[in-house]
Amino acid sequence: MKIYVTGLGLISAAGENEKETLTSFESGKRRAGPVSLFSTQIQSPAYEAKGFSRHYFPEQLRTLNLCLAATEDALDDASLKEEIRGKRIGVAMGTTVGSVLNDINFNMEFRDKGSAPMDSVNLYLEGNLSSGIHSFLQTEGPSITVVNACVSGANAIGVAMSWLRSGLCDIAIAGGADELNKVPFCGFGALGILSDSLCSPFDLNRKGLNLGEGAGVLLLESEQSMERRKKKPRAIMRGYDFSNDAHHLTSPDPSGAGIERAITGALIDARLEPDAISFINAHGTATIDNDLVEARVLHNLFGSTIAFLSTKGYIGHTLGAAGALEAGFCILALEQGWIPGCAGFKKLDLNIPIAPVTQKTQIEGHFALSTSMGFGGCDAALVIEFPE
Amino acid sequence: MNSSHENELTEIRQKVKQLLVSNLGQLEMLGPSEIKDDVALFGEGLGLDSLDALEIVVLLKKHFKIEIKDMNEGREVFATVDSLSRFIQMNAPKDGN
Amino acid sequence: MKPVFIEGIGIIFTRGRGLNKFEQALKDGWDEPTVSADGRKAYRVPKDALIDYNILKKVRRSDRFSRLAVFAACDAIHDSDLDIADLDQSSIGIIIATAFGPHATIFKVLDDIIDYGEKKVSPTTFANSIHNAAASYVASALGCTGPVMTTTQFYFSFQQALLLASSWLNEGRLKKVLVGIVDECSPAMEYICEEKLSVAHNGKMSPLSCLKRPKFVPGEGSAFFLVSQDSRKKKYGAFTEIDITGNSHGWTDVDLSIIGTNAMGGSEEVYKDILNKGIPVAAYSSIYGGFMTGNAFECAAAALMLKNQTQYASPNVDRTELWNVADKSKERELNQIQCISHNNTQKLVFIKMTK
Repeated sequence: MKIYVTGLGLISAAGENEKETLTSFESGKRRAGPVSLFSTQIQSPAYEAKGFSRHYFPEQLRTLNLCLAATEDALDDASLKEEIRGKRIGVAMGTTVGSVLNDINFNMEFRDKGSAPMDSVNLYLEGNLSSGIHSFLQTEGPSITVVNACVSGANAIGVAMSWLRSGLCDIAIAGGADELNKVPFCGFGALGILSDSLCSPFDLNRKGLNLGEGAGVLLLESEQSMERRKKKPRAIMRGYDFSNDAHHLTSPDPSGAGIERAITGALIDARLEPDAISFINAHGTATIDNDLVEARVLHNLFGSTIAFLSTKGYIGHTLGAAGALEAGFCILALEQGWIPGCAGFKKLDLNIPIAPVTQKTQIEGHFALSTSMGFGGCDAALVIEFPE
Repeated sequence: MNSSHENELTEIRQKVKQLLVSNLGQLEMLGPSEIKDDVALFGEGLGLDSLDALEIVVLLKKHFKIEIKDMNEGREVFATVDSLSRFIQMNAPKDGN
Repeated sequence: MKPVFIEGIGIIFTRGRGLNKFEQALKDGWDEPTVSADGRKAYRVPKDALIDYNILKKVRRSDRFSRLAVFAACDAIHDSDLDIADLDQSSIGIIIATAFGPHATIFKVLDDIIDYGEKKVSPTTFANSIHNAAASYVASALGCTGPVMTTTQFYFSFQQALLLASSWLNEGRLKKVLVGIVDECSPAMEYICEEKLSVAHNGKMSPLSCLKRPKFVPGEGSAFFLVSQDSRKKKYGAFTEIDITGNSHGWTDVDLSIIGTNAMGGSEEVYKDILNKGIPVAAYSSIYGGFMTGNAFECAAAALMLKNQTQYASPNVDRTELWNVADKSKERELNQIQCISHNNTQKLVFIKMTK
């Protein structure tokens, strides 16, 4: 069964809409800078969604606001604005900080006094992404918030595909969102994988990742629903699979078996051979381990001439949003016929057998692959088709 | 070597063992006295990994005010409880805990 | 939906680890909750239930939250006939649903930031504070290399996870899915419960009271079900329907209705119109305490009753005039049971289970 993408909403440091995003990609502009959303002693540039100010919920629920803004854009794009209340529409959203009670002041006060105001708790209880979107839009249908670390956004799209294939809904809103937040910022610092300069995916001198924020939302639809609405698809979600390394909590399996299984499974799901893939939007966080393992697997499966890049040099690592934003970027690339250069990459690492594209590159063909790898040994892959 | 120096080292070893046991998991199954001073912490031996190494870096910062800037330096220092304790004795600020 | 057969169940709760303990608890009925040093009552999992070096050596770094999940998940596999070594390890998927995640560990990360500063956060504690750490430990402990996913919602987390498991099986993506829940009590969570809900200071949850703010005692634990569409492997009946639309009135061809009471959804008045007086009703949360993902425990109770063809008495229901309460434990023909839960907007979600 074919699953169509009829709407897209993309918000990141690269831009608050598709036009701005494409301009950033085309010009190679990297909008990172010192953290402005909170005070911190950790020196690492961050990719903030500067200027984002759309509030549907209290301002503090930044992740949910980002998510709903991207959802509205996707609904607009799909011309689905008015007619959704009470409809059988699934909502699957991925996040990491969007579902965490991590208010430092609450904790401090509770520790010291044994009591603390409930304000941050109330916000937290309001902030679950998929529940928040469901209740805001008053849709009916399955609903899941995926918290699978950096793979959450890709997994949420996969969940929606499963629902549509099983007939649990006719339309699904799927994607991910995450705000730049102090707690993971400190945590990634503790894990020693934050770079103190702009990140350089797949580069010899890569020193780690930069965190980012944003939301990516795809409107997925069954063929019948799309035809009923006389809507043209922007893309087809052709294949998906995911797996687990069962190896280590924070490090990828050096053999790459997990991500290889996910990619192979997604290609089988898509009924495609590797040579059908035009380009790959790799996870490419710019950590030593991730890029090494991932590029080796890509080389194994696709050979040395495959066009690939990481878009993390434009948006940072947006955690729960990453897989969804990057799936969206694949759709833009298929539509435009080009992929941007892999911002931050300069020099080939001799341990890595292939190099990403360094400048705007024309692509031919109809199929893109987007990979996601994450904490907890999670690996996911999506195959996306540009419709004839 | 004077005895107060030796006594200090013994104390540091005890504290190091306690910190490893209570912060690196698994080791809670051993009591602190059961980790031998010269057993390899990584690889064969206790089998610690890269995440444990990061944890030890933070433990040194928290409890001994020692910064490990270069993980290559860390590799030798982190070899055994004994090497770690000697490193702490040499490098910890004297007013520090 | 295609029936989803239950091949094994694992559970850990306030009276210990193991399905036999849970079965015994259903037979024994209500008991006093545990009392913490600060005097708060809750149904906490005892320390000794979380020690098992054979399992822990595979997940040495795991925090308490993860251990709850790992033990219940391993027990569900153990309870089935499945020998995981004989299996293609990528053909089994894992879904863990949680309402509040490893919040106690998240607070420890915050403690580090407050006490030592931003640059002295324990990397292990941070790693354990990520929602999917528990799932990662479960995958490692079992050697599962298939899809592993963690999901979170306050309401209906388990039901949505079960629905996804059923979708995965329908798609043919997987042969088997290990689907379960985990949630944990902590001093902060118990405090929050006290602030936001009406905690029963005598330690007695009284379900089906129809109070606007039902009396509540927090609980915790983990429960897992190994499920497949292979009827030959069935050990405890099957999940045969899941209705999450919120428009349903449930089924009239069931022999028992189990109500999930978590107090966050408010009064059980909402069930009055839909519960057919002829069908006995039960609520068991006063045994294991109230928590948002406790619906999995109700399904475990239903599975046991269908297998044993025995109804267990619903403890602590005072307002017997309102309901046809299943107030006695007895052998009974039980073909179908529905488990119902509600949220704060009075939406009802149903799971039907069949012998």
